[in-house]
Amino acid sequence: MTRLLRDTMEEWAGEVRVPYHLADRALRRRAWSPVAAAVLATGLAVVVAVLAVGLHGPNTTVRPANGVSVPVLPTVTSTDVRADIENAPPKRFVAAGDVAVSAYWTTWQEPLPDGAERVRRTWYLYDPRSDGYEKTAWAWLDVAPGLQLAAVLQGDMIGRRVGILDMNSREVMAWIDLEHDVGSLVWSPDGTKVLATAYSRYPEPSRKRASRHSFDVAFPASPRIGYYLIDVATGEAAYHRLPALDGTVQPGNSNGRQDLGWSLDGSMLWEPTDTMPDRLWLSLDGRRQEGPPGDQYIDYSAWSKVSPDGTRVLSRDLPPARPGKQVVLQTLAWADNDNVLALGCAGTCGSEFDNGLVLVSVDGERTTQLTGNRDRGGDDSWHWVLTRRN
Amino acid sequence: MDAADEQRFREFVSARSPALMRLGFLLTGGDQHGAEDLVQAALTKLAARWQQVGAPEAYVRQIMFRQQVSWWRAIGRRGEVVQAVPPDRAGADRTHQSELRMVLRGALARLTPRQRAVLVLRYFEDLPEDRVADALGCSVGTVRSTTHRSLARLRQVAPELAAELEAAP
Repeated sequence: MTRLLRDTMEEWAGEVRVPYHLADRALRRRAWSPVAAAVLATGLAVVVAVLAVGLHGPNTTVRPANGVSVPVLPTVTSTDVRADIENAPPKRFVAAGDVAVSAYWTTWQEPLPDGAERVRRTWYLYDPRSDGYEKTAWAWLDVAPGLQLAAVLQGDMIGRRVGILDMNSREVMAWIDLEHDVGSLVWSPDGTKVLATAYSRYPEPSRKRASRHSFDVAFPASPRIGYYLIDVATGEAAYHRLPALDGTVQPGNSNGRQDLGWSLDGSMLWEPTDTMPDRLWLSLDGRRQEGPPGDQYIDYSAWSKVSPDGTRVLSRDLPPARPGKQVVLQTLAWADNDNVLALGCAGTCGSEFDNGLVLVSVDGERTTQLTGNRDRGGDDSWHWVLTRRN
Repeated sequence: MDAADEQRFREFVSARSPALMRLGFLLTGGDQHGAEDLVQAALTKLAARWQQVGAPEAYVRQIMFRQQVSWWRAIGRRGEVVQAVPPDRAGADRTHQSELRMVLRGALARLTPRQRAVLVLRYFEDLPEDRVADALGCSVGTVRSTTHRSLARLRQVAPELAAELEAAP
């Protein structure tokens, strides 16, 4: 018996792969002492503050915690309504109140050698120089509140290199190298950290055509292995293990992609389920805990149901201006205290997939089209990324 | 840490990382990413205390043992490696040693990290009970009872190994 255990362990241990950069990583992490990081952050903040004045003149402010992150914001806030009703996805910048379409992604199907296919994304990022959207080659991206910086992921489908991109100059200001591949990036609400979900392989499922109208979709276990919290000012990336949720228990998740998100105040994280409750809460170091008291979210989103002034809460449907007439398909975010960014339906709301972005007043009286309508049920659909402008 | 210390640290990691990774791989139940994290975290701590630590390998191993158990406590049972399928059940005609070893791997992966750590220390590292107790920061009695429970769990998870495991000391 002893021999069987020994032989088994010997043989099994022989299958491990030995990384070659263990010493470098250990020495690098040790080197990020708080004092050194603070000195570096201060130095970078000064550099960027000078740069900010150069770019925008005296009418600028620099956000408190910045360093490399440095969202440089105009003191005059942007709340105007910007629409591109002829196009879906939009070609010109779309925004209303405090919410902007900062980026969007479209999908395409990549053929695989075994006859299957899997979904891939193409990312488009708001470009303030052209006031439109620029097609990019990043594997994933997210725009920081204020629209001054983006976090971009270098790689084919997943990757280990995260860049902090200046939206105005389109230059990557800092690169952060990680030990594990990550598949999504999300800025913290205060714009100082990036949450990156780590996967051992590309998390999207593959599918094979079963008939003219159907596919067999493979749902292997999710390859999520953990997440990074990246402090943008110091470049420090703290890794936390977090196995995927199981799809066979409730609440659980049978999807391969299980990207994490932030609580509204950035003090906690959540992982998505594929049912209700739609999220499970974690402390920043990955311990399961109760959600933030009083926080109310629009289902499956990172946006609050509570209006900015705290006086109204969105219900599932907006009241129709005329009885029996549906106003919108889905509410997405508060644009200001009286208007909501929503998914509006084309014509008489006959198809839930035929839709576009609209701005609608809370009484359902006034609807402003923001993008063209388009049937978003097909493979060539587009998906917006909403970001706070101010 | 000066340049000479850094050079010695690099030499230590270069020489010992294969053994440390093998140990980490077993402690995490065959999880490559988990093993890298475990070894990396222990080496980072060693680097921070390099000048004070007299026996670096023993220090790193002790951190790995205790870290693995505490990570498991922190994230609960989700820390176990989930097998896509239950461990292969060998039939009466599948008594070949290599097949038994595959079955035993699957069963080891289904132990708790603490149970697995005790078996790794006893049978892979070949340590006596008192040194296992030192490494895990528990009593010799706890080592004995955990060993007993770990073997019982292996028999329960993989009944076809019961006959082999009956001969346990």
